[in-house]
Amino acid sequence: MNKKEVRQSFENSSFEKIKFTKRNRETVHQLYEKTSKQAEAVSSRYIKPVLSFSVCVLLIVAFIPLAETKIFTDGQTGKLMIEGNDMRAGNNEVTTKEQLLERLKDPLLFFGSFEGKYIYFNKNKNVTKKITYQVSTKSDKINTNNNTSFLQIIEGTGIHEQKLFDEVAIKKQLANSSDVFPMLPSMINNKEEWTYQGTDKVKGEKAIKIKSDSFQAWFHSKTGILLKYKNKDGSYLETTGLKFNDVINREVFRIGTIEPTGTIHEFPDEMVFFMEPPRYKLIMDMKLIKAETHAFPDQNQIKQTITGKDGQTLTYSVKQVMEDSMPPGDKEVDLKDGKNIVITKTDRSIDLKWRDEKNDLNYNLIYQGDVSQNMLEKMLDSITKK
Amino acid sequence: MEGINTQHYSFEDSEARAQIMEEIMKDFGDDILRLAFSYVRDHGTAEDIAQEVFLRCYTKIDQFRQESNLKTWLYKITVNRCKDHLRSAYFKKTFLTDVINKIRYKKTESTESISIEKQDSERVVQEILSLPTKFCEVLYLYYYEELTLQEISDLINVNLNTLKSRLTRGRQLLKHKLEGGDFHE
Repeated sequence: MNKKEVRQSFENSSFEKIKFTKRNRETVHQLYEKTSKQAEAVSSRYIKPVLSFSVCVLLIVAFIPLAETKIFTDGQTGKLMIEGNDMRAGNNEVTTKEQLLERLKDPLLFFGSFEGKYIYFNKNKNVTKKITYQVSTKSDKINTNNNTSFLQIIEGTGIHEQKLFDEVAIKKQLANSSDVFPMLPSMINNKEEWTYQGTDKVKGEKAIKIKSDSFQAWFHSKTGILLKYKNKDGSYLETTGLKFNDVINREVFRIGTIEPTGTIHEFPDEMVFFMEPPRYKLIMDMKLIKAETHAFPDQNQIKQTITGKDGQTLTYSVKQVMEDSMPPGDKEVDLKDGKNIVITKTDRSIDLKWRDEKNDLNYNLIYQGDVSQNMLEKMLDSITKK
Repeated sequence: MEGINTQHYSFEDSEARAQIMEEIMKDFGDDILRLAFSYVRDHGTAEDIAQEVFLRCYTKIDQFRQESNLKTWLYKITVNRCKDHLRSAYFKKTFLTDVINKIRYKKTESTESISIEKQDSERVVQEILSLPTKFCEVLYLYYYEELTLQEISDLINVNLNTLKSRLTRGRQLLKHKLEGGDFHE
């Protein structure tokens, strides 16, 4: 082979399909905008150091959660590094098994939100997952309910789940569900099986260690967040980044926004039947405030999460949809009941917009991922039934 | 190396800066992403790195040395960032599993509809990318990016003679992997 042939090999291979897309470019613009604003915020903080210090002292005295700890992974050493001060947590480090259990059951005690990244390898399934999650109890202007909390899990590059809860429910969700940390509910439910092993270090951070016959786990001593997990069978979890009480990253986490590459479609506070879920899961008569659909091309399936007015959520898989994909483009469809729907299909999503004249409401429904003709017909059918 | 020189640009306001960056990303986005991919061999990670590189470019573009070539500068940041990533503990833990999964995926992806020529090309690329980084980077930059040895030497901070021996050794390894096929400069 000569130089020309090697280059041709690259050009003929799938390597040439690697493209820096419009979406990548948009992400860079958005990140720059965000970092610029953060830089402005930081500089203004330094302009008034005395005032900031005074505020901090007052807040400590008042015992108000003001954890602004950011932990992130240093690219070169892999060491977890902390920025800012987590003042309240600093005086409340976990030192006993009982304290750890309490912290695990109420992980939001010391912060209103957290965002984390970890890698999880499940030996039994031989699957490695890169998860990004964000939990917040803070009200958000785009959520319809001010008391709403949310949890989002991003698996790899695709959004896996988005859920809304009330503040009590989200604590239960964190402690009892395997959504965020797959192994956590088992640890809490089988608390007799493990023992507290004292303090240890994980990537330079103080951690408390627990141990059972089958696993070892390390938790951040100040917050109780799981940092590391090792199972005898070879499964492991390793945190690669954490942020507490940080500004919600809208580039990664989109709740309720209607954007070209968004994954959310919103419904007003009224009864909506959207893609009939499997009957065995129809356990509650929900007034929906949100329905979300996410495509998983790797798994060849679509999952939907519907959210009720009272914070109930229901996630279920929609049948296989990846064959017979629609070509990109726009078209208008008139449904049987007279609704006129504009369909916009792009490479990454399908966007349906229609207006309910009777109730003076506009609807926008966005699917991310490929959608078959058959799937589209079902979607339109479900809208007609409504 | 060809490329845009920032002396043609002005940075009077944020809108102008955004337009310039859009132009730069359109011009060099694919190259930077592919270069990152050649190091990290994971599309998602390569995307992250390419975005970081352009974000850095965004913030530093007005301090950019006029005499330098923008593409060289972007390449240098990319190479350094990729090497940082490869040194990280996170990468070391995940790399093996990812590579195994990719190899499996590639094997199942192969169908009759893919031509023999295409398969051969895929294989050559796969073999180059599977070489140790120090050989892969040289082969990639020399054969695909068509940089001169001096340019590569400047880019990755490696002595010219060392670079030559790496190129030779890289060729030998590739030839061996391709099972006896001829490999000429």
